[in-house]
Amino acid sequence: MISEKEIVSLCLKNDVRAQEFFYRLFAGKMFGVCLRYAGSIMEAEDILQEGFIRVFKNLHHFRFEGSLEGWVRRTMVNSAINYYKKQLRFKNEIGLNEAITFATNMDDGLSKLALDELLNIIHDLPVGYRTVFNLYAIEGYTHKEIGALLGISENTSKSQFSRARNAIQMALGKIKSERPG
Amino acid sequence: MEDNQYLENKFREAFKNFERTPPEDTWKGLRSVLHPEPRHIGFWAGIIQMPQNSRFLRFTVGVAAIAIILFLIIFWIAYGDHRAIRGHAYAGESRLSRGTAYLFKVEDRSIPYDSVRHYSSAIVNDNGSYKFINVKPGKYLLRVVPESTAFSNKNYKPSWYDQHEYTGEAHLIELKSDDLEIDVHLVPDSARERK
Repeated sequence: MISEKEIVSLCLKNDVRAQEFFYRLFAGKMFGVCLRYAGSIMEAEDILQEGFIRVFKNLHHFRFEGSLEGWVRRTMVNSAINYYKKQLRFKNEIGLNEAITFATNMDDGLSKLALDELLNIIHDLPVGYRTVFNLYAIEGYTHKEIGALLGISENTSKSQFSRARNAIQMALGKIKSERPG
Repeated sequence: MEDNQYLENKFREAFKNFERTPPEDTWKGLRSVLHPEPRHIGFWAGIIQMPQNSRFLRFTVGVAAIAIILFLIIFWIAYGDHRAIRGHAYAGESRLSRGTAYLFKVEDRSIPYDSVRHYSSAIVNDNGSYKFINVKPGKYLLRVVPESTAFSNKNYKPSWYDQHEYTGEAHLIELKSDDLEIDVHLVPDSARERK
């Protein structure tokens, strides 16, 4: 079984078979990441390809100080952010007290939804909401870090996330009401 | 707040190990970017863009190019500034029928015998014409010797340009920047003519 170090070493020598092996090793999970950030499957493919180009271009920076998958994932997220930076339209910073909060009964109805349904809910979000939601709720970045990544203020990140959450809750409420029982 | 945290936690949990197989085209597209097909480029552009590991090939091509250029320079020096001396040999009113023309290089006219050396020979054909090519600019003497076997030649002597039997009387030919057209008239052999 070939080690990560050997694979990386061969990839750095531009060995095409090693690069293909590397790609297939991480493609499934990274495509999952891209699907969360993209508005469509085609966009997710573009982000994936751009992301892997970045990975191979910057692979010499990886020092084996952490998980290789984690490093690839962060690179892929950065690729997704860059892809949509031009499309992000953030409104002026607003106070949190202006955000509308829905009170919903969050029972285990959520757990009954299939993964694809959750993905569709995310896809339906506007690109700004979707990006911030992914970074905060799923990747675990703080609002301060998100602000630095996207070039927005911390408060704008919070308000965008709040709006994303509200939109998701509305979508979940709608699905729940449409389901029998 | 608890509900909001619940939402985030559920999404995080749901997508924790989420993966999907991308279309096969994605790898093909990525591969074409990482390993592009070589373009058809011009010869000299190809030589310049040759990859690093063809250093020996580039060196060889460079040496060959220099050798060719040097050869052309040497060739031009040796033959570039050369001209032709051509013309006809006459035996009386008619063209000479076969013979040999000899070109002699003259370095100093004041001492003709010491400074004259054979430079080149040319056939005089049935039509009496001869031609010297690649002749360097300079001073020359031209002598035509008729072929003894030709019947029409037997009444004529080997002669210098333009019509002289002896070297000291020969006319000097000066070849400069242009080709020369020179006719030689052979001296009649009066002893044979009288017979």
